[in-house]
Amino acid sequence: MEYLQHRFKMSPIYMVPDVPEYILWESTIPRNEIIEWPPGKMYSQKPYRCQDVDHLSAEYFVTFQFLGPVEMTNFKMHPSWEEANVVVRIWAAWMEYDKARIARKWHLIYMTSHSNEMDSSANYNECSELINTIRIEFDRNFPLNALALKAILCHRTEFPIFYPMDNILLYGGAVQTLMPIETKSEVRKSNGKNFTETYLPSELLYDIFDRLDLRSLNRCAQVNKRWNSIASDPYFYRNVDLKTYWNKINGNTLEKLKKKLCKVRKLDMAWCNEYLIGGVEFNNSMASILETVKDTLTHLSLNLTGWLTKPTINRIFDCQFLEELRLRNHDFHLDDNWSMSCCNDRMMRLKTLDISLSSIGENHLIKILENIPNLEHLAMNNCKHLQNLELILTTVRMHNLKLKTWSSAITFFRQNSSEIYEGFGNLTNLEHLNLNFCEPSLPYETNCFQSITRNCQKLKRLELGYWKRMTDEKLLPVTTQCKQLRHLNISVMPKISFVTLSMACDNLPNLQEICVSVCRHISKEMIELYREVYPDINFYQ
Amino acid sequence: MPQIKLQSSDGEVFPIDVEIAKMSTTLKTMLEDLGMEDDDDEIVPLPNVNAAILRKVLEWCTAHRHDPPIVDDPNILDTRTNNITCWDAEFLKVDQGTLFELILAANYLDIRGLLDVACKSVATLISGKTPEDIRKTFNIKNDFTPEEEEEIRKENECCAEK
Repeated sequence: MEYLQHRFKMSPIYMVPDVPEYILWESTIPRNEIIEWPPGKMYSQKPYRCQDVDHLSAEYFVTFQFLGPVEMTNFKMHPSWEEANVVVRIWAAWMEYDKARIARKWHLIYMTSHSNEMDSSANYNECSELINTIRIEFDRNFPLNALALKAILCHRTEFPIFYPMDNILLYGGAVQTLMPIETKSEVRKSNGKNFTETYLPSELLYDIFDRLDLRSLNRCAQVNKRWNSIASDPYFYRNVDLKTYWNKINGNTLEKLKKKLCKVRKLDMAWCNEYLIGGVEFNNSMASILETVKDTLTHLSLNLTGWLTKPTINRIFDCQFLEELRLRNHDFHLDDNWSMSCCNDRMMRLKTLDISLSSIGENHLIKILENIPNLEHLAMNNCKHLQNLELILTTVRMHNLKLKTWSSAITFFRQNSSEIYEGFGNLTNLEHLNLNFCEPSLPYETNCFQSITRNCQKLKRLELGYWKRMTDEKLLPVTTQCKQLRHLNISVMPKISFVTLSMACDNLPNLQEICVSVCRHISKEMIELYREVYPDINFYQ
Repeated sequence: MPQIKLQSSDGEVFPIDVEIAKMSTTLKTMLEDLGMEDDDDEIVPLPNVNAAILRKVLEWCTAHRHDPPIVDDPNILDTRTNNITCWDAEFLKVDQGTLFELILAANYLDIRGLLDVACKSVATLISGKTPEDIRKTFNIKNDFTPEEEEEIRKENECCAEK
């Protein structure tokens, strides 16, 4: 690695103070992997439709930018990443930032082979055009604290690269030849007999098309008139995941899809719209689709789709049958007197709301919470405009008592006294509580865990990472009374010692995972010892 | 083990266990409705299925007689093309004509598992192919005019490529 660093004289992005392009990083990276539920858990975004599951399960992406144009001549992934199988796709593009950040064309330059095959052979495609932007997609195994990016790009022109973390993202040089692209052999070939279409009556085409992915379906629609009329039936567009087509979906294409989406029930539009700052057409199409499907739509994700206009947001909250709504990373440019247009009995079915990374303010969130009485899962990680924990807790206590999941990592970390945290004790149905990076900013006056552990008897998961002033003694209520606890995250608590570890292991019969990374007084040797004594518990360090 | 007799369209008679016959919802309903008893020596005619296909269908049913029944669960995303078992893949290594006839027979006899796996198999044939390749594979005539074809292509291009 050393020679490569030397050769390209790269410097981390945070050492370059006046970088206008930094905004790209800011708006695209989901900065909060660290506070995600662990892989495969509730907060991994489940695929929405049965037709076109992204077999590589890409969950996150980051976008990086070169200081200047780069010609790719060679390309290889760092071995450690290839083995970990976390990078699933890499895209390259020439992006013009002064024109609302529009990518000319995205080239798929790398894609892992099917994730459930042991064979780690991967597909690399060369890209002949000059590029300046790289986008890397990760699967849901993206390791929690490992934002260390080590993909490798070999290039001829020596331009430093922006990269957000302290590890090397990309390095260059003539390192490796491209791996051959494996072509899958045809499953079966026709034996040459002539079959006319009479063999497949329309009814059976329905059966067959229903088992196709979106891409094949759209190709079938181009075969002939009969196939076209069947393959264009909105019946096949009940559950649609457009996330894997993020680079194709914009206002124009969405307009064309509109009539096929008129019966859609689950719609995942995450990542679409390419971060266009304008996106008026996208919004118009989106609003008109939502208007059509407001009585059928049950699941909607608009995660990271860029800017949404007020009409679009209003249409979203008109969808009275929504069960799941994901609006990560959205700017809510709503005026103060905005309210959900619906009356109180609307959105009775909404169970999951994810507004993480959004700019929503307390007054708007409260207006929403008041209208969703059956909410069970609420994720509001890293919402910088949410500060008044007490207010939100009171609202939830009054309107959302069925809440099972509260996730507010990196939100509410200012001006909160420990007393406010006792309010969680009123949410007696809580099963998952994520308060990473949420330590009260004022000195502890009370032990807020007493009321939580006394009242939240169903608590299965508790995340308290980065509560730096926490002590063994203050954690006692947790480690002795949360009998249902399966997962406990007490990482980055410099003051705690093996006492907490012992108490938790001895007293919590259901404990399966305990995360103690960066706890100064808990050594590696100690963990090894605990692993031997408690083989049923996973220790993460 | 009680048995019944099935007669194919070309006259061949297949004595089979009732348990296997009942994997076909059509036959199951018929047996129940008609109250056919084990010792009835009646023959059930299947005018839509020939002997070769019926033999294949029965082979599949025999191999899958212990499968749990298929339930309609919207939460199970089971309709992708990649979960065909080895046995089924081997079983379905047949020419297209046979495959389509199997689908028709499975549809007629209402055997969910067989219909599902055979349709998946056809879906595998389609998947990854361009429209022209699909036409070649299934010997389908393109009946679009060039203008229509271009229009349809534009309408579908967004999701036709990745």
